[in-house]
Amino acid sequence: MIISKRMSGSQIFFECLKNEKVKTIFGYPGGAVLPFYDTLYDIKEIEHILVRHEQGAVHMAEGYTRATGKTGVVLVTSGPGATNTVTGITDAFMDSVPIVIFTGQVPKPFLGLDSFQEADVIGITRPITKWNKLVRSPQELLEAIPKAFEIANSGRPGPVLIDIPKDVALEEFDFQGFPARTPKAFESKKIQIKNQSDIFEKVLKALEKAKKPLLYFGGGVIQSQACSELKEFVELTNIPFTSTLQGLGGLPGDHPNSLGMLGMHGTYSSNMAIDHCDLLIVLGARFDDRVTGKTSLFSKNSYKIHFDIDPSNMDKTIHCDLNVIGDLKNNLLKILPSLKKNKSLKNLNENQNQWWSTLSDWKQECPLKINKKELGATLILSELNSILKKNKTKFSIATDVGQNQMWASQYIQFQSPKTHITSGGLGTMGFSVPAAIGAAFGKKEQLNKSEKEEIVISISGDGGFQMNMQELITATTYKAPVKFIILNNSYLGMIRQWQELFHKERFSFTSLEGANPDFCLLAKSMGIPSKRLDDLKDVENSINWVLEPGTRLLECIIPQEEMVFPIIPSNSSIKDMITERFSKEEK
Amino acid sequence: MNLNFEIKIIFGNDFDCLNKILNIFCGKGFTLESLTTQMQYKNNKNELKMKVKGPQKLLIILLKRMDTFPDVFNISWNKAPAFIFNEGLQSPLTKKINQRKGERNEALL
Ligand SMILES: Cc1ncc(C[n+]2csc(CCOP(=O)(O)OP(=O)(O)O)c2C)c(N)n1
Repeated sequence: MIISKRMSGSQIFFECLKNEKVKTIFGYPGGAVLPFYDTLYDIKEIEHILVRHEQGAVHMAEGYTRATGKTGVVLVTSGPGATNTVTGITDAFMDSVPIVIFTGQVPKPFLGLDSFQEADVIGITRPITKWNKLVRSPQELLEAIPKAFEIANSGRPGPVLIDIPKDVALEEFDFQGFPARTPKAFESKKIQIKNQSDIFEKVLKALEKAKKPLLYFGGGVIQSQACSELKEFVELTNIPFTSTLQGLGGLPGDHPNSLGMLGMHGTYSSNMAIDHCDLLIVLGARFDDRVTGKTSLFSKNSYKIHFDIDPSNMDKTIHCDLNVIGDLKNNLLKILPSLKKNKSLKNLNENQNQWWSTLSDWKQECPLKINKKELGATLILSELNSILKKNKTKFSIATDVGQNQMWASQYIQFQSPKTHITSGGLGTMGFSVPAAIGAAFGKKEQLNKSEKEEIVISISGDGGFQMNMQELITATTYKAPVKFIILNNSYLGMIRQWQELFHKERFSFTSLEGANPDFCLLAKSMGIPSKRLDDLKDVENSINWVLEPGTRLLECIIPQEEMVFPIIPSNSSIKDMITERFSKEEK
Repeated sequence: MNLNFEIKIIFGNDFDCLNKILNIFCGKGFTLESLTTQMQYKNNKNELKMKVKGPQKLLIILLKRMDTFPDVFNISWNKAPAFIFNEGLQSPLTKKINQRKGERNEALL
């Protein structure tokens, strides 16, 4: 006998979320979502985090997802609530972050009438979501919500949005349980590779022949949870590796085979290796233009093998000799056994001797420099790295966009996946503060009682910090123990750097000198203990202070002239790399 | 270099999906030469036929991306004239009439 229960759309909505094992949602109420908030009032199993701006909610959901691997959920109202999420959704789309956004909508009879707080959210978010849908009845929710979670996490992950008119939330119907999950059309889209074994044989052959092999991996390695398989691959072949910004943490940053990050602000050795290798194996990366520079000059002489889940990434900007489409973890699992059996791979080490000595020359020729003579970002971040390492602290870091992001990627050695959280594809200033808060909620949710809390750090510039600083109060309210570090150079530093290098030092509208708030007072007003680091002698103390338990803010005063090196100007190649400040004569 | 292409897409029968398909070509330098849609009654799906002009490399990337959309079931394309469309639908007559009228962008719905 089927027992049915009379329920409203909003009750069904939360039943569906519980069914998806959702524990936390980030949201902001409004007229169109009042029925949901009314239902939520009685729900104990789901924690709702009240943000201060809907953009903050989406970045928090992204931070939560990227720190835990669980799908982040956002609930906002119609019109302005929904449009405020657009930057965050685009950010998640570009960086393939699986999140689900629920937006309230005006009641169905009011649609299309320019009603109060009506916006065509489906139209607005169509190009920035994997899938979006306006739900027309509570019954439709039963199908749309599981589908949303499934699509967000299938193939190349990404954001999905469901728009729910207010009358759908209020409408009652007889709920008879969840429909059985049937294979849906989108499931049949799972990518199949023809002649799989043939492809893997080719990979092995290429490895056997290579004298100068290199592995370049991206965020796909972390998303497909292929890090341990990748480590095994690296250790079996002893292949040197470089990572993209999103790949950092995929393998330990201090691994002996690591050359550091590649691309525009990548290390000299990584970029030289890309330029000189004879075999380039690319895993879960998409040849972003910040990585390739001028595509016609990118790794010209190598045989290229590209593993990725997204068929549209294949041959998109760089032509590869062999494309392997599919889930990376599955594919690595298929290669590893043959790799272990393959005797000729033993020669690989000998083949590579010369290559390793060249690589170590490049490492010494132009290492990342730390300026110990004055208080600056390279010193502060390398000190932070040493302290975290010395204390064996487990940490995650969310960075903002600009110089702070690049310095963090260069000087912090991320040791494990899901510890480096940054906005790569869209480069969204204002990301780090909410993303770190979201990550802290995720870590707290995953914590076993016996474990020590993992430290979550937010690193921003003074410009980006101000783009979502309203969320400091969210951190305080919910006791999210985030360590906010501001690298304050009183400038929009990265833009200033480009103006200095490429626009004849015409610093047009990038100075924030005398135009910044007092960050310590600001923190105080939000109930967060703060400290200003403005003396070289205090670096270690200040870092130790900020790492103490609880929410804290450390403002670090750094010189406006400090630049991120090396830099390869955009659309250029390694030969145009700038490794240090020009002297006046050189300019 | 911009070339002429014929594209056939089988997709779910709603405006959202049609819009998502068309959206992908927007703002990327493609010209729409003609467009028709028709219901495939036997499988309850829609069939979209389009002639577009634009760069081949980008077209292939976009079609591959489109192939990942949940409600897109089949995509075929070729350089025009390739007759991947059913007879009649791309008859020279239709084309001539449209060109004569200067309605190159009119959708033949
Ligand atoms: C929302 C947004 N607006 C503008 C930009 C362009 N932009 C990139 S880096 C940068 C400067 C960032 O300055 P700051 O936050 O102080 O960081 P710094 O570079 O000094 O570390 C700007 C304006 C952006 N990436 N995102």
